[in-house]
Amino acid sequence: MIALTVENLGLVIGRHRILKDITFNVEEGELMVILGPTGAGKTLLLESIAGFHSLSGKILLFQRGLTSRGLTSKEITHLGPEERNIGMIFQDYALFPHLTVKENILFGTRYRKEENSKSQIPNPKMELESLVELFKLTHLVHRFPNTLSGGEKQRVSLARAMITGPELLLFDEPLSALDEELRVQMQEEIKVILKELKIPSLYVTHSRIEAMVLGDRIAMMEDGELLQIGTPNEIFSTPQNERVAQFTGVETILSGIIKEQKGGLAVISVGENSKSQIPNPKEEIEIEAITTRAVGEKVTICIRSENVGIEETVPVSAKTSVRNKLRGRIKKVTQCGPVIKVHLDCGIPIIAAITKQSYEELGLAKDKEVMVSFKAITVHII
Amino acid sequence: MKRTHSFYFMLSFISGLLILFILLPLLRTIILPAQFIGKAIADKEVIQAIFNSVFLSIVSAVIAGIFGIPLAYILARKRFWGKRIVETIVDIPLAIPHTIVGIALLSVFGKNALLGFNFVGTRIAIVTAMVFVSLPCMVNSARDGFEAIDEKLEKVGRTLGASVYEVFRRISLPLAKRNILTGLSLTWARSISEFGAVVVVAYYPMTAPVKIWDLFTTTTLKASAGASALLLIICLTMFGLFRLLLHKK
Repeated sequence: MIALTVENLGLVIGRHRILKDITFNVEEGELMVILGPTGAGKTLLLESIAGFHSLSGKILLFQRGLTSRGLTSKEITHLGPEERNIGMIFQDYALFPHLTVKENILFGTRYRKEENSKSQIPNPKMELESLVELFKLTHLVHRFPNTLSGGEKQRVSLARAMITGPELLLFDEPLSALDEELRVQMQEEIKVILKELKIPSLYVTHSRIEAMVLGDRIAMMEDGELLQIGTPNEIFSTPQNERVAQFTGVETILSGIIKEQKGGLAVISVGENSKSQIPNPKEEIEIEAITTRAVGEKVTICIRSENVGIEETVPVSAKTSVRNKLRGRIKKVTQCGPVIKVHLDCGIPIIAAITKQSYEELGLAKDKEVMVSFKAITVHII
Repeated sequence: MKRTHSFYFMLSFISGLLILFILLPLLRTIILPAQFIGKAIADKEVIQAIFNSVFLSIVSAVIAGIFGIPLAYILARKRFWGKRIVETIVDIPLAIPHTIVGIALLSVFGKNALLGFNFVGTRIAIVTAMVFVSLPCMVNSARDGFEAIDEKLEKVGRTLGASVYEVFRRISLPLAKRNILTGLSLTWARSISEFGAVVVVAYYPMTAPVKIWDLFTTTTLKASAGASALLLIICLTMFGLFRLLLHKK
């Protein structure tokens, strides 16, 4: 069931079109992540939904009535932030420094009493007690925000938003200022709490790992536009355009033309390789991939580094399911944490990610010639 | 290391001179034979003038606060065409000689002037002059306070259901409190010390600086020194107390 609908949302500030024709839905209880690089307009999109900008387009909130009436929708496009009943969690949590934890949490209770249909607060004190317990804040209620740790601040800001019974929660990069270890811990915490509370949420981040961990669905955003919406798996495995592919970490992106179509298995010819120093028997390089695109069509080929294997240059006669085998020379090797990225020139540039162990076992080094292989099924065609 | 030491020694020496330059004349004024101060206390006109100064400067500070805080908030939060011009206008009273301020006020509020009523020689005239010269202290100090508040705090207040008025009252004002109080204390200090503009619009009723000037020109230096010492002690005490109050918070 839909909780939020955003239709053709546009935002213009000065002469700049900040948001362009944004359309999406958030389902009841769903956590939707807006993923995109810095400057994509993610924060402005959240602020627009929260009510801080005047917009074109339409925003609808669907409330679940307490009675059997079922869903009722309410257009909020032109309401002020205080009339929308949407909670927002900011990057540094924006706790009021002059109020104690308890006063912070209770801030909104005096404004959201009667109008609240979803979680009526007959007795804010009761609500306070259960929230304080849920967020493990009991021992902190009389403290001031500047004495709290990052995790505690986050829980206070969540409790403060929750007490008003919001119909939607917006998170603006709440974890990006934290160190790695704490971030992972808090991701889990947020996920557990949101699943428990079942409040539909929009979560903005520029971290693809965070997006994968948290998102029920991900909306990839750039330059004020949504490029693709889908489950983490769809976004990462089947990006619909080159920018999504790049941003989700596809390192080998090539352009080619379909040369042959064998009922779903296509042979794609990839550009001339005049720059290559490697003697290659064929003049052009062919890659096989699963696609139904027709012969002659121009396509973009995406190969994730972790799907590329490296072997020694012994001619293999045994049949394997590996369709794509290319001879290449190692041009550059970089260590990226637990994996090693090997940049190869196979007539076309290909990057492979392998473990340190296999790197050493194969005795790889710069300028060494190797066989590069990847399965047709792992090649994604746009 | 040696160089660092000599550098800071030099700075401290120069700073020390500066502090002495401020303190010496003031101490010299306060440390008077008790009889002069006693004489000043016994002089009803002096006491009346000091009361006028203290009371009217407090009134001025309050008025400057009421009119200055809204402007300070707008300047801190909004971008608009002509903002630079407004900021410059706010600072003008700091840049013009205060006798000119007095004359300028007369041209609007004086006899047969623009507004058609004559305020010369009234307490209203004194307050008007005091507010005029001290407003920049109020506006600039409060604006700094509002600017220092993270806008997210105001935004989060709105998402929690508070209207702009409520956000201003419960978040912006309390968080800018220290700056606003500093502004008020500076406004008050500026007002109580004002002579030039006040003397032009109202010789009578006399404020303390005018009375001291009057004593200085018509009687002896010693007579005015007694009144000066008294006013100085009152000013310093009030200023000191206010500072203490601010730092305690």
